[in-house]
Order: sequence, then C-alpha cells, then structure tokens
Amino acid sequence: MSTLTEAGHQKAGWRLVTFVVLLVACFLTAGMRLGYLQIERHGHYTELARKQQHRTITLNPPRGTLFDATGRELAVSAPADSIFADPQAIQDPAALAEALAPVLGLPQDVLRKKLTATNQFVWLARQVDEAVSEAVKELKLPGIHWREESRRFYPYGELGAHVLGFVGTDFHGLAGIEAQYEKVVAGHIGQRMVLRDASGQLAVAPGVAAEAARPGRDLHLTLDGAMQHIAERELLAVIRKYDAAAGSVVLLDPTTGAVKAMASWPTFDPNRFGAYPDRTTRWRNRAVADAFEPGSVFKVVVAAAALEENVIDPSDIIDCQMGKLLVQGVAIRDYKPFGLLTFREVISKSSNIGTIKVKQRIGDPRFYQQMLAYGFGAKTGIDLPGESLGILRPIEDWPPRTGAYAAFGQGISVTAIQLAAAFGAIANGGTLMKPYVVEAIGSGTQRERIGTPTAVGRVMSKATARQVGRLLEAVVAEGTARRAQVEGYRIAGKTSTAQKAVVGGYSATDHIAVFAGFGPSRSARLVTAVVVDRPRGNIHGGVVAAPVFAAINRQALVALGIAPEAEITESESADGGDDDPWRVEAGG
Amino acid sequence: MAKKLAFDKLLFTTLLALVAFGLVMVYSVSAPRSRTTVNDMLLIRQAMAAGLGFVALGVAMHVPYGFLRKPWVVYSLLLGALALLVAVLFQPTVNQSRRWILLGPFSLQASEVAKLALIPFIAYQIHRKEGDVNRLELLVPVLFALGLTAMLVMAEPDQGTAVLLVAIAATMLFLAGLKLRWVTLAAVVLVPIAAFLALSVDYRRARLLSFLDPEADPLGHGYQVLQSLIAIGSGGLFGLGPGQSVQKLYYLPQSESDFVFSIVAEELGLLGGLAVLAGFSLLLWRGLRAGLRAPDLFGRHLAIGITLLLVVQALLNVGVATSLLPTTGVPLPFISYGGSSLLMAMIMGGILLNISEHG
Repeated sequence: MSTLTEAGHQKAGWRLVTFVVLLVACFLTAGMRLGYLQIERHGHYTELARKQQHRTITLNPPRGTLFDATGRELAVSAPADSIFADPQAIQDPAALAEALAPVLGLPQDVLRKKLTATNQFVWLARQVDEAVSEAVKELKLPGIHWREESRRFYPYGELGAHVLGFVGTDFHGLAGIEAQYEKVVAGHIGQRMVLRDASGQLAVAPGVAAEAARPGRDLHLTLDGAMQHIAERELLAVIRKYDAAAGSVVLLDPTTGAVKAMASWPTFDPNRFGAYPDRTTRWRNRAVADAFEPGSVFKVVVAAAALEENVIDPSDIIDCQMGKLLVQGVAIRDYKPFGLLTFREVISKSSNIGTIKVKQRIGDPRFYQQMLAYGFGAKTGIDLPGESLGILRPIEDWPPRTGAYAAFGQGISVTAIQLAAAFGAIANGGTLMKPYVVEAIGSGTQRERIGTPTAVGRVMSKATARQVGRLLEAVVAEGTARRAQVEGYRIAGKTSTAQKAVVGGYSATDHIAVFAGFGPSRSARLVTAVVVDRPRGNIHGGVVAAPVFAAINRQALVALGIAPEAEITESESADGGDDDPWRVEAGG
Repeated sequence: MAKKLAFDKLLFTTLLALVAFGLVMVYSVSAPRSRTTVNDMLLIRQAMAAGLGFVALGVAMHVPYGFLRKPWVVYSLLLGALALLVAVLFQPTVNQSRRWILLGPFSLQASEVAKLALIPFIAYQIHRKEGDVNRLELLVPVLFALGLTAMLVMAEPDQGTAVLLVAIAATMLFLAGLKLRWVTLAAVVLVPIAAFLALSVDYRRARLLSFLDPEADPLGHGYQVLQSLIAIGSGGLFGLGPGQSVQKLYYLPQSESDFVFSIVAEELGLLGGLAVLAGFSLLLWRGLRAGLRAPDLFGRHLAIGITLLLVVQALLNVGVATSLLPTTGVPLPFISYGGSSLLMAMIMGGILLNISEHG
C-alpha cells in the first residue's frame, strides 16, 4: 500500500486528469452533436421522417345506388377487398405465387412477376369476392395485404346495361349514367395521411384526415325496369328472328320526355363488362350513338310542314305518276307504282313521289326549318354520354335534289332518340321535349328533382299535330304498318325500309327496318322507336319493326295502367273529323 | 482494508435510474411490435434480466471486492471467459455472427463475460506488480490475455467489442503509468494494421466510412445510421412524446438494442438525450471518485477500468447513433435490450458500489 497518500486517498495524476478531460470533451461533443441534430437540423430530419413515414391513402366512398322509376335497385355498391402485395417484404416470390395462384385464380407466372416488382406496392386483385378475400386472409402470407374497397354490382345483369354503363376498377364510371353522373354518384374521394411502418403496414393513424370521403348520391332513373325488360326481350326476339346485326328500341313518355326504356343490341353484362372480345361493339349505346338514314319515317316532317302551311289537306289528290318522277333530270321511283292518291294515302302507302310533290309545294327552306324544329342534326341533350348529332347539312350546302331525297329520309341521318323525341312532339300536340333518364338525385329528405320536363320548342301547332297524328293512325290502320296494331288501343306510327348508306351510295343487300309510333294515339302515353339494323329474310319496316312495336306496347300500355279503348264508338272517334279511317274492330 | 464507509448513494441512484429508464425504453420500443409479431417477450425478458441483475448487484455490493483480487478467482474468471469465447464459436449463427451461448430459453453473450473477466485481471496484475506496469512480467500476461480475448471476440465476429476491450485495457495500463514509449510503439504497430484491415477491402471501407455521409447511400450502408439520424433529428428539443416514436416501427433496425439511444432522443428530444449523457457523466464522476478513494491499487484500477468501460461504451454507442463514429455495434449499458449486457453492467455497478464503501 505504498502508493497511498497520507490522507488515504490516491492522487489523480496527470494521466487520469488528461483522460478525464478527454472524456468530458467527448461528452460535450456528443451533447453538441445532439443539439445540432435536434435543433439545427430538426427541420431537415423531420422532413425526411415525414416523407418515409407518411402515406396518403385515398378513401373511396361507396357509389350511390341507381334506382329505376319504381324503386328497383339497378346498380348497388357493396364492400369488397382488394389484395395487394409489398414485394420488398417478400422473401420467396415463387412459393407465394404458387400459394396464391389457385386462390386468386391467376396464372402463377403473372403473380410471380408482380411479386418480384421493385416497388413497395402492387395490386394483385381488385375488388375480389368475399370467398376469395377470406381465403387470402386465411393464408396469412407475409407481404400480402388487403384494403377494403367498394365494388359495383348490377343485380339485374344486362338489364339497362347501356343506360347504366359500368364502373372501372379504379372507381370511375366509364359509360352510361355511371360516367355522365360520375361527380354525383361517385361521391367525394377522400384523402388521409397515415403513418406507415417500414414494412409498409399502415400503423398508427394520427387522425388527421386531410379530406373526408363523402358517399355518392343515389340516382332515380326514369327507366322502368319492367318496360326495359319487355323492350330488351322483344328486341332480342326480332334480332334472332331476322338474324339482324344490331338494333335499338327507345320508349319515351311524350308529355315529359322521360325515357321509360332504352335497349340496344348487342348488349353486355355490366358486372363483367370487360369479359367480351367484341366489347366496344357491345358497349355502344346505339339508341343515342348510332346515326342512320331514317327513310320513310321522315315523311312526317314533310307532312307537318305542309299541313302547318296549309298548302294541302289530307284528302287532296296527288298524282304519283305510276312510280316515276324526274327531279332535275334524275328519276326517283316508288317501291311500287301508284296513280292518284290522297295525301293521307301518300303517307299511309309511303309514296316517295307523292311526298316529294308535297314537299315541292312548301319549298326546301320551309322543309329545312321543319327538320331543325324537330331537332334533327342536333343533340337532343339527353343526359347520356356519346350522343351523336346525326347528319343534317346546312341548307346552303345542299347539293341538287337534297330536299327531294330528304323528303323520304335519304341523305340525312338521325338517331333513334332523335326519332323518338320527334314523334313525341307529334304525340303531345306539337312540343319537342328534351329526353332525359335521371329523374332525381339523392334519396329520402335529400331527394332533389332534376329531371323536370323541358320543352325545347314548338314544332307545329296543336291542330297540325292532331292532323299528322290522324295520318299516322291511317298508316297503322290501313297502310304499311298494320302489324303495329295493338288490340284495344288506337296506334299512330310510320315505317321505314331504308337502304343502308355505304360509301359512295347505298347497299344492295343491307337495310334498316324502322318503326316509330305512339299510343294511345289521341292521348299518347308512350312513344316507341324501333330500329333493326340489317335484318335478313325480310327487310321491311312494316314486317320486321312494326310487330316489335306491337309486342312491346301490348304489354307496356297495360303496364302503364291505360285502359283499352275497345269501347270507343264511331261518334267518339269522330273528333278527328269524318275523314278518320281508323276503326277498332269489336272484341279486338 | 481501510475503514468501511456507507456506499455511494448518488452512484446507487444513478445506476437504478439508468436501469429503470432502460426498462421503460425497452417497453416503449417493443410495444408496437408485440401487437404484430410473436416477438413480444422483449420487456419480460429484460425485466427478468433486471431482476437477476438486482440480485447480482446486491451480492457484488456485499462481497468485499478484495474477493476478486484472489488469484484463483481472477484466473478462473479469465479461463471461464476464454472457454465461453471458444464455445461460442460452435454455436449457431445469429445475424451472421456467433455471440450467444444458447442455454434453452436463455442465452449468454460471451463477450460480456470477457469484459467482466479482463478488467479484474488487469487490475490484479497492476496490483501484483505494485503499479510498475512497465515490467515484462506484467505486460506479457496482460497482452497475452488481452490478445487472446480480443482475437476470439473478433472471430465471432464482434469488432466493436474487440476494439473496446483493447482500448479499455490500453487505457488501464496507460493510467497505471505505462511508459510513453510503449504507448508510442503500440500506436505505431497497431494503427497501420487496424487501418489496413478496415480500409483495404472495398465493402468494408464503404461500410465504415458511410457514417460520414449516410444520405449518400440511404438504402445501403447508410441506411441504419440515416434512420438513426432521422429519429434523433425529428425528436427536436422536447421529442415526440413518450411512446410516440415512429422510427421504432421497423424503420430503425436494432432500435431496441444498439440504437435505443436514437429512440430516446426521438421520443424525449434533446432533453432526454442530454439526460442520458448526464447519467453517464455522473457515473464517470462517482466511479472515478470511488476508484481514487479505494484503499489499494487493485480497487483503484478495478473501479477505473469498470467506470471507463461503462462510460466509453456509452460514448461509443451515442457516437454511433449520432453518426460521429462508424457503426460498431455496442449496446448502451443499462439501457439497451440484452440480458447479458444488463446483467454484466449491473454486476459492475455492484462492484463499483462495493469499492465506494472502502477508503
């Protein structure tokens, strides 16, 4: 113990002092380093922390329900899980792909490719069925996660597919009402900042929702599911019967413009809208998107203008020149030779020559004005995407004989919805109504009516409308459209057997069979336009399209609760004048 | 032995505070993990180690430190430690190294035992030669024991602890009066070898030097240090609040062990970080005080060695976390998760307290 000092304590010595000074310097350095990192560089590291720790996730709200006019749910949203992977957290992609492939129903090599991606997030399957989701959760695989999303279901399958449209996996409405009313029905996609841990799992929610998600609002459609079903069934039947390429049917309420049914064929099931090789053909809503040369139904435009101008009376005699008329050196023919016909017969027997002669009495400008008034060459403004204008050249650009051809519906094109709206004007006493498919937004106390009947303009006087209506009754009663008759109801309408326009002229083989009409003709509740594209076997509107009208209206008029008019007597029907040829057969 | 005094209350309080704080931090770090993984035993295991540590601390406090001066005790400890260091090489690899001797559900870190064995051995040698450390009869056995221990630790591999052992041993000898020419000779021989070993291989150099600019390779060598800096830096003056660390959510690897200080700084801010430094400063002061008041050379150098080990290891750990030093992988004594480390630190604390009772 020789090194002990007198006091019993040892001296520190210069070595220990030096070393302690060194250690104190280390403590001070560490403290200053901490101060530098936590005060001076606090902002920098906070930013780095935020970048890696925070993730903005989008919150997809459920879309609103689409209801038909009677409250049927045509489109609903239900929660469905979407499966995603964090490839960075996956050790053995091959084994994982093998385990997942049968569950997700995806090929192994596709999965393996996704699981070996270099990023930290990859979708494996979006909006899967509950059984699939449960099976995936059961597997408890590392790096495989899920998020609850919303999935669109269309309980009635194909019913109203073209009107409803469909929703893509990224929640955007891609067609039909779903696209047109995207902003309303989709709701507001929310964004939320969440903390995530290094493995990408969402860990602690600090509760700072940047933007809350708002669910989409419901839409109440004018469409009537029952009528839509009838329309689709009858359209399919005629297309099968005549091996037609395509077709469409529109049912309108003539007093309001509300679309009661709108069918197109070929069609699709919006629940699996992507599952068709020819999907763009099937997705096409032909009733609004396809323009065609209307043919003889267009004669109602000439008739309305001539009657409005008072240049002719339905009983006036017109020489149809036994089927041949020279217009500016070019011969125009009727489908069969007619001699002297009353104007009523010109329409009911559908004489081109007679119609041209009537058109000549009013002149092209007045005829053109009438076409515009009917709404041809312009969008009807229906609340559906992809509407075509049809083709109506400005009168200044008309080549020779345009007016003559247009009198029987050649050289111009129209859509089925334009045709239905135009016939609606005749049916309701002369006012063109804007067609619409959405009646109201929201449900319950939030319900807000948006589909109010909108008059586009007056097409003709009420008296003229009634006269045109009588002409069209004759077409059905005794003319080319007898097969459009519906027992118990007075029907007005007009057929077309239009040659299909092709490049440089008209097809020798392809036709479009059309019928447009309404019933009951004197207090019309339903306008129907039927377009059958390229029927085989028989091509005539009166044979192919008119029976579709009859079949639909036979059921639809009853469905609308309209009592049959079988008891109508001669005197009651005389309000149209003694020239009325239409008569209901007793017990029909 | 001189008169018996009361043990150092301040040192005792400091040790208790560090252990308690460590348990809280291990709980904080492991809490979010226990929900998602099966590895929810961290706190329980650490608490068990602490319980065992208190018993050991109590025993060490009450057995006079002179017991450690007995040759058979010194050599048994050293041989036991060496045996463990050899045995550990035959253990299964965990995290690319062999550091733990697995004993059923428990495991023992051999290098921690080596620390506890080497310091009494050196203090004993100094005591035996009455402080004349420049004699070969002293230097040879010390260097032999140190070299063997350090090489075995290196073989695990655990360079950080090996460097620490060499540094502590060298410092003990230096403080005991080692002539400067020996120090110079050692420096001239060892520094180039160490530098060559560290810098000759590209990836080792890259890893070693990544601390200079961790953001240059944020997903590679710089990842862990950068994550540590993010944790510390984002803590700010007052921290994110107890338990509020985000970096512990798997961003910062080893956030419960080697990088627990970063989580302390993230949750408790600059104030929390400085408090930990203050705790070890107190330990330095009271530990050296105990050594300087010790009645014999053995007690003096044992206390100095233990104090230096705990304090230097803490500074090394903080230096790594704050990117002042390259990553070495040594735990923060008393606070980092790890039963062996906690147990050994508490035994050393008990020995210090015992030394403080003498003088």
